[in-house]
Amino acid sequence: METFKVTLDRIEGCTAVLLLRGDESIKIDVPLFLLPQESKEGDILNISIERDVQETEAAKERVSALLEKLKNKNKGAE
Amino acid sequence: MIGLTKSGKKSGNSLLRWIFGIIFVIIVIFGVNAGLKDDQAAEEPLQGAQQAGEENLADTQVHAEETESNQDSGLEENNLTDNGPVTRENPGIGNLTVHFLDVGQGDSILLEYNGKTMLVDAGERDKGRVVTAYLQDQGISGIDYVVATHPHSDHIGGMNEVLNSFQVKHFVDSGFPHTSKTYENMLTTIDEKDIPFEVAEEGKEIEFDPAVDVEIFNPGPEYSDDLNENSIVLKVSYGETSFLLMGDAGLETEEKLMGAGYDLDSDILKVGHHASRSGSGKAFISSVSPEISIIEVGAGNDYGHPHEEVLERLQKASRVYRTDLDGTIAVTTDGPTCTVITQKTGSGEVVTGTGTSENGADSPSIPIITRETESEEVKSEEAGEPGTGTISSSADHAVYVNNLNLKDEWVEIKNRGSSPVLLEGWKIEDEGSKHTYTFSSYTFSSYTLDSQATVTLYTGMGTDTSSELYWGSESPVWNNDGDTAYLYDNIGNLIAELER
Repeated sequence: METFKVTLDRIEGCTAVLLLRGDESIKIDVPLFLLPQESKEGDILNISIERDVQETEAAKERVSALLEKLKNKNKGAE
Repeated sequence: MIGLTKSGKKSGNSLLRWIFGIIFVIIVIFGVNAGLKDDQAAEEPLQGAQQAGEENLADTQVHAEETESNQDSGLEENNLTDNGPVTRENPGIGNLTVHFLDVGQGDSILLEYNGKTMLVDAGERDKGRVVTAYLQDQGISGIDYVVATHPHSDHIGGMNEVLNSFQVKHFVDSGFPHTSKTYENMLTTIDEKDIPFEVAEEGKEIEFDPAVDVEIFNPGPEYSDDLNENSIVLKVSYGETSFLLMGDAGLETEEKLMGAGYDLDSDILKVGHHASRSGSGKAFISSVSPEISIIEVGAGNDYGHPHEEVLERLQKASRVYRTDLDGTIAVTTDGPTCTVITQKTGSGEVVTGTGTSENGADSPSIPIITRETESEEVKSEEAGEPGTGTISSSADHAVYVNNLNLKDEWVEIKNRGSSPVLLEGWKIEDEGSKHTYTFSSYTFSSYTLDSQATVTLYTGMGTDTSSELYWGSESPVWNNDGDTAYLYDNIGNLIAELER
C-alpha cells in the first residue's frame, strides 16, 4: 500500500487542488466529492492507494466471459 | 512599517476626490518628512531617473522632490518637468508600465515606473523561471516590492525562484497563514534572506513612487476564512489612469469594497480569480466601469475559467484581454493615454475612446492604442503558410519531446502541428538544469522545425543538419539512472518535458 501526504491548497469550484507534500511540485486535481466531508483549504490529507487484486481478477473474469459470450453469439448469427 | 504609509483615503464622490487628494498629499509630506533619515538627501537634485537594477537611488530623495511637485499641480497631473529629461519612449521614465505575464493558470504582474519595480504574484512553481526570465529580459536585477496577494500556489508557487534570483527590498504579504509547504518555504526564504516583511492592511499605501499611488483596499480590517477573499487588492493610480488589481478576491470582497465607499472607478481591471463565477458581480463591475479588463488564465484549465457569464459581463462593459489568448499583456500609460501591447494574436484591433460602460460619464476617457508584437510571425501562423517561421507559444504544444535515449545520449523533438515552428532561442535542459542546449542561429540562419518534422539532438560532436543537431559535449548529458528532458521556448515557457 502506498501512502502519501498532500496539502489541500485550494478549492476551485468543484475541484480540490492537492499538492504532494515534500516540495509540492506535483499537483493533483481531485473532484471535491471524493474528499472526506468537511475538508477545507489548508487541510493536510493522507492518501492511500492499494492494489485490489481480488477486484481486478473478478473484473477480468467477468469481461473475459462477456467477450467469449459475444464472440460465440456472432458465430451463431453467421 | 518601512514602506507602508497611512493614507486614510476613501472617497466615493468624485468631486471630493481632489480635496481628499490634496489632504492626502499633505499627510504624505508629513509622513515623508517624519521618516526622512537624511534631510540632506532631499536637497540633492533629482538626477537619477535611473534604470531598473541600480539599487542605490535614495528613496527619500525621490519622495521629497516629487511630492512637492505633486502639491504644486494638486495631483491633477504629474509634473514631469522636475524630473529632468523625460523620454516617453522609455517605459522606465515618465511612463508606468504594468505587465500581465502569461504564466498559464495563475497570476503574475510586473509594475515598472521610473526605474522602480513591483512584482505582484509569481505564478505556479514551474512558472517561477518564466517570471524570472521575463524580469531579466526587462533588465531588472532588483525588485523594490514583491507582493503575494494570497498564498495559493498559482500565485506564490514561483516566489522562491524570484526571491533567489533578485535582490528584494520589501515583501508584502496578505498575512493570512496557509499550511502548504509552498507558503512555508517562501516564508523561510524571506526569513533567511532577511527581506523586510510587511503585512498589507486596508487603508494603507505602498510607497512605490510618489508619482504613483498604490492604495491597499484589502485585506482588513478582519480576515475572511476564505483565502481568496483575503487577497491583497491594490488600486494603482498614475495621472488620470488607474488600475484595480483584484488578486483572487470575489463577491464577498466586492461587497465589502462597495460598502466601504472606496473609489473603485478604474480604467484597467485585473479581474478577480481568473474570472471565475465567484467574483466580478454585476454591481461591482458597474462600480469599477473598466475600459479594459484583463484576465490572467491558463488555456484549457480544469476549473472552467473564465466563466462564460462573467466573461460576457466583462465584454459588455469593457475590452477584454486574456493571457491564454493574448499571451503577456503590457499596458503602458503616460498618465493621460494608454497603450496595450499583446504578445500574441487575437486582440489586434485598435480601441479608441470608451462610452461602453454604464458609468462612462464618470470615468476619464483614456485613448487606448493597441498593438501586437511579433505580428509577422503571428500572421503566418494564422495563414498556416508553409516555409515561414512562427513563434509558437506554450498554449499550443505543437512541438514536444518525442523521445529521449539516456544510454545513446540523444533527444528527439517533433513538431506535430500543421505549421512550421521557429525554434530560435528555444532551449533543451536536463533535470536540475545542469546542461542547457540553445537552438541558435550559428548553425542555420534561423532554425525552423517543419510541420510533422523531427529533429534529433545528439550529445556529442558532429555536423549539424536540418534533422540532426549536435550539442558538442565531450561528456554525457543524460543520467542513465533516469533523467528528464525539458523543452523551453524563446521566452522561457516550459513547452514540453519527457522523463525516462
